[in-house]
Amino acid sequence: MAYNYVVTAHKPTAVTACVTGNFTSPSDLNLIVAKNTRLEIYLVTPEGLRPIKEIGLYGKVAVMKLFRPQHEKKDLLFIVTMRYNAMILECISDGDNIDIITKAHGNVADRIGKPSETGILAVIDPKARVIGLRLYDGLFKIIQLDKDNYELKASNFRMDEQQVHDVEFLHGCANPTLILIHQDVNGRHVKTHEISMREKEFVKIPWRQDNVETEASIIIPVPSPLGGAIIIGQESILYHDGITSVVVAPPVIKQSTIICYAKVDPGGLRYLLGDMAGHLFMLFIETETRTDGNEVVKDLKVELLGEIATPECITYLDNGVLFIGSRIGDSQLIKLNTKADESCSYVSVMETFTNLAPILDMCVVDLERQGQGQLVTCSGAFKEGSLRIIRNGIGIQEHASIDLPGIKGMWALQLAGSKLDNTLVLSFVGQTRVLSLNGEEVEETDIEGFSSDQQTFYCGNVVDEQIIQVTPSSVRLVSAQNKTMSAEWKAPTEKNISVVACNSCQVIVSTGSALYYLEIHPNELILKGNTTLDVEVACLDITPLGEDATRSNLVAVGLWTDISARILRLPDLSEATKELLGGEIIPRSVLMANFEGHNYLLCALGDGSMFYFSLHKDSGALTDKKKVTLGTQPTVLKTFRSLSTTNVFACSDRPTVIYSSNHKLVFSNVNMKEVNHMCSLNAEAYPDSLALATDTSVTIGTIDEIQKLHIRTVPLQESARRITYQEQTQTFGVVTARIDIQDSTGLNPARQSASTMAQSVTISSSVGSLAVSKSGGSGLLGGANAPDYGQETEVHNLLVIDQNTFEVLHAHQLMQQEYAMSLISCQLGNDPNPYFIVGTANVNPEESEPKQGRLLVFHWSENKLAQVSEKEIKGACYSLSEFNGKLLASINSTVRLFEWTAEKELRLECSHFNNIISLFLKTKGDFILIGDLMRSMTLLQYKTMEGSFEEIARDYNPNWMTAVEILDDDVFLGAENSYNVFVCQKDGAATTDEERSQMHEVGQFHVGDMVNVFRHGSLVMQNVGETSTPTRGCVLFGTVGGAIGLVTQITQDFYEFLLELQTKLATVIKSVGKIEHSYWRAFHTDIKTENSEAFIDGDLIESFLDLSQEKMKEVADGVGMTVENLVKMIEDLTRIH
Amino acid sequence: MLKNNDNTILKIKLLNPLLEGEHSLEMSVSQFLEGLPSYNENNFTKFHVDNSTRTPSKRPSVYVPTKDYPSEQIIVTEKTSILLKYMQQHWDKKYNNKKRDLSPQSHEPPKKRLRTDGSRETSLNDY
Repeated sequence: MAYNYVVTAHKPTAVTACVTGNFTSPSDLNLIVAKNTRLEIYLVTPEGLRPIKEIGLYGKVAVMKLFRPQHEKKDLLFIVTMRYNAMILECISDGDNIDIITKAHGNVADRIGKPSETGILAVIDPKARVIGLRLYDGLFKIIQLDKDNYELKASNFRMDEQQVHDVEFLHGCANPTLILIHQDVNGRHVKTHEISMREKEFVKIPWRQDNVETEASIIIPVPSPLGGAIIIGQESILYHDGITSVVVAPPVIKQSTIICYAKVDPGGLRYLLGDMAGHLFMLFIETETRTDGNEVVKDLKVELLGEIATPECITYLDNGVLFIGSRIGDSQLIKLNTKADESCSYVSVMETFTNLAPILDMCVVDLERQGQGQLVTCSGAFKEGSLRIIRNGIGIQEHASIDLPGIKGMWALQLAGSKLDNTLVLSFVGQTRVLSLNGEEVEETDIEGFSSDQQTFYCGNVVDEQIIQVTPSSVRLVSAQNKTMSAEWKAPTEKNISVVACNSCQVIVSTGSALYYLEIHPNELILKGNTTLDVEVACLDITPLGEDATRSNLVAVGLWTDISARILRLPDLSEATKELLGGEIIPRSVLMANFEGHNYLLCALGDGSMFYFSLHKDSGALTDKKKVTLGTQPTVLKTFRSLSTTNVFACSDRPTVIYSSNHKLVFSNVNMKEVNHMCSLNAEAYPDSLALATDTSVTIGTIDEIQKLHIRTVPLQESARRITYQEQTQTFGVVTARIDIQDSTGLNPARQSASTMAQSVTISSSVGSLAVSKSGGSGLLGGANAPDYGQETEVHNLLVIDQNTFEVLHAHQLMQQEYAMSLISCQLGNDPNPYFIVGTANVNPEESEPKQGRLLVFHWSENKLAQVSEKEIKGACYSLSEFNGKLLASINSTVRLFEWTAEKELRLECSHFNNIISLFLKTKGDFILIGDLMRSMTLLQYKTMEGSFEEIARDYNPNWMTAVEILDDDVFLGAENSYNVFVCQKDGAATTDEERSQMHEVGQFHVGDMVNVFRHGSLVMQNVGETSTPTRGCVLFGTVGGAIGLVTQITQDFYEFLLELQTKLATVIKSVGKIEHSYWRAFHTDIKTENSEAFIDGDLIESFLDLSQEKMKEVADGVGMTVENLVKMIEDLTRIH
Repeated sequence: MLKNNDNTILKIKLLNPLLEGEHSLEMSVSQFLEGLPSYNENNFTKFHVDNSTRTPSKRPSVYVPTKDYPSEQIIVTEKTSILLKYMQQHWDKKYNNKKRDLSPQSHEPPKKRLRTDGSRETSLNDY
């Protein structure tokens, strides 16, 4: 059996709904944002949005509304999930603590009914008398909000209108009255329905308006006293209240389609509208007072305010600030300005919220070859299209920065009796500079007793209120009070000091191969020992080991020539241990460190690798030698303390923090490009900070306590669809689609984007001059069909992107109506060249499926992209894979293998036909896993001798696949379109052919988000330190909601243990909305619901770490473990992502 | 709460002649954007632009509820199919109407039904 652990490494970020109101208290103005299964509650403050809480739901939010029952002082939250769980939530706050109370809950699904194609709609009567739900065609469900009944009855009303596009409650009606847009054969119509709760029917139609605009899609109910509603269409906006009707057709809205709105004034005279292209409009109702004194709508005005992220929802916060929730781009906090800026925009962006959604494709690369993968995703769509580079690491929050190139060393000092650091000593070649820190101010000063015309090797506070400075010529002891020199020591041989190490009372100095040991006394440096080693010293350390130790009785030495690390005893400098490191790389930095009571010797080499040993404090013996690669450049090790634990900072081209957790060393990347030197800094204005020196500057910042994912964005401004990495050329291949618009000069890009701004551009030949749309070529579209002005066309490109700078080096444009469907980078046959291969489809709207496509083979070299080969195929190439030096392609329903001939041509070798549409391909050895549109997964074997495919096994369940992956020879992972994942196992040892030909679904799990891509790989450093968690392999997945998760295999014993823990946690951790955990994780599709099996919900397991001590104990007791051990075990599990 | 909502309406009314006139676009948009609602005039006043760069990914802490609050109310979905409900309602109506129609006529109804229905009819009429 295959057991799996599935966990979210990065939570979903696509915003699907947002609301503003008084939720946490009557006086708090809150923003609530729904991101897939998670709600984020913010408080609006003078400083901006303050995060309050994040709430996980056991369901994907379909609709979220705030409402205020009569006589209530604050708002309640009504939510319906995609699986029809409805809930009413209330927030009670007690100081900083909040609790979410499920006031009402229940499932509102019907056993029969056709789910509406326009999704779940939920509306609440303005007087909060009833909630209306449109879940199924022809039915409307009403929940009567009655305070006194324990049961809130949800009753179905028959609705004659089948296709309802939007529905709302009208304001100012005696009985709850619906208004809806519905469609029939004649077009779209607006209709109102008054609800009778007694008769459970719609009793009358107060008014209707037939044949409104054919694309009318949004209703905005206008508050009293005006009442009525605004109907938003594609080109026109209509106000109607049964008597008055005003229609306008502002030209500005025609370009795109309005998809969301926000009410600005509570009185309802101004609304914000957002369209698909990211335009923000203001809609303004102009009124006039009639002779009878009633105010009526006179006119509607629409003005363009500016450009925002493609919105999914908009909400007005306060003082002209809006939140723009985006599903396909970064959400934004926007300020409306009364004056336009230079680009005639009235909006300015205050803050952006990173969003990876939707993740279309991704690749795991290890650019620095250090065993830690980073993920590059194709994220967003249209103008929000981007690449996102995601890596795990510790973040440095930068607080100040000083431009100072060429720093060779850096130390913080406490001068003049200060208890805090107030001075920074910086060492350069041939000079030393002193900076005094005065609050946030930094100014240059000098210390009289210091030698400033030499490089400093070491500097620091030492015993008896003294400071020490070591330069090539001498060791100087200076009073911290009056800053004058009190003692100086020079090497007896007149040789320059080359290496030094120091603690608060001991100094060890070397001049070549000679070593001198000095002790620091008041105004005196006393030589206590010296020796001469057989080779020259490369690095030294004299850090005292153990808590509160001030003296060391050991010296660690790294040596040239014999490449060894030695431990010498003090004071006689006799050798305790000698450890030959092997190789030819010189040790550059050596450090003795105590982590969690264990002593270690760390020895970093010139090539960025590091050895580490257990160090026995008394004998000086070194054991348990291990090696890791931290960077590629010489590494400098420095200790710093954070949260009263010892940490080591490895300065190199890949800065790393080394710390210990559960008695194991953990190596964590830091999100800085390079750090040459660092020191701890605890100054008044910069408490618990680090000073970090790069080639050009010094940065003062604080360090995150834990490592997390860091995301970098490379905007492409067009949809990125596929990505592949080509190591040989250090480039990424990316397939993108941009929108071009037909106008009088031909097809022109709707906006500048990655493919139009590439350093060089080529085009597929058959398009000829036309494709150079920028130059205004028309032509191809001419002839039979006249150009359709304003028509949007997708134009596909292959981009070649530099792996370091992420510049678009080249764009190759495909033919008209040719869509790039798949992309790989591979080598074929004996040909040593790496190729980018693109599989395409010619998309003709009249055909039910593509009948034609191409396989294009490109070679990138010397900054030029050459098309090496082209092969016509009879369909769309959905997926490509390199397969034993050949090219495997899934083309419509088939899977085909192509050989690469000596003439550099693709020649068909064999095919397999037994699918509906073969969407996905994964290969391992001779095996091929196919993911079908609707027929789940099939396993093929390639028979080398016969040169043919044989179908080995198939999953006969009807699953509509969205991604597949091979876990091992027998176990296959699939994701399907109802947000589930499942695992199939083939049984090669079965006795009958029939049994062997079936793949059995042995595991299933509801992820709650659509998985678009699986990739083998990991986000954390591999092969370093020890891991105790018995996990095997790691498959990352990316979802439509912008989440990144991973699936790893676990043993049966561990599975059973975790299952027990999960069951226990599911009872201890209460579900907001009272949806059962087992219900949520059950494999659920339109046709079946089966309990989750062979998968552990890592998200629930890891939430153990957020429990109170008392609850932890309850859980630990339940599974028969100590809290301490359980915490350690789960912390280890969190470390796999 | 909304400080100057009424003022806004007034102001814009006064400005209406201007809007209709040949005034620049910018003018009218600026006027649209005047007097935006303010619930707490201090909100967003101390917002720093560099806030976003300093803490780009601030996420709220996760709420892990362990206290069980019993639900005050449960939402119960009506199980009856609307077809049955419809038929029932309409049968009741029809039945009612029929009785009314039949009783004045009552030409030659079968003996048996007359008796049983008659007895029930009175009770229904009493309603």
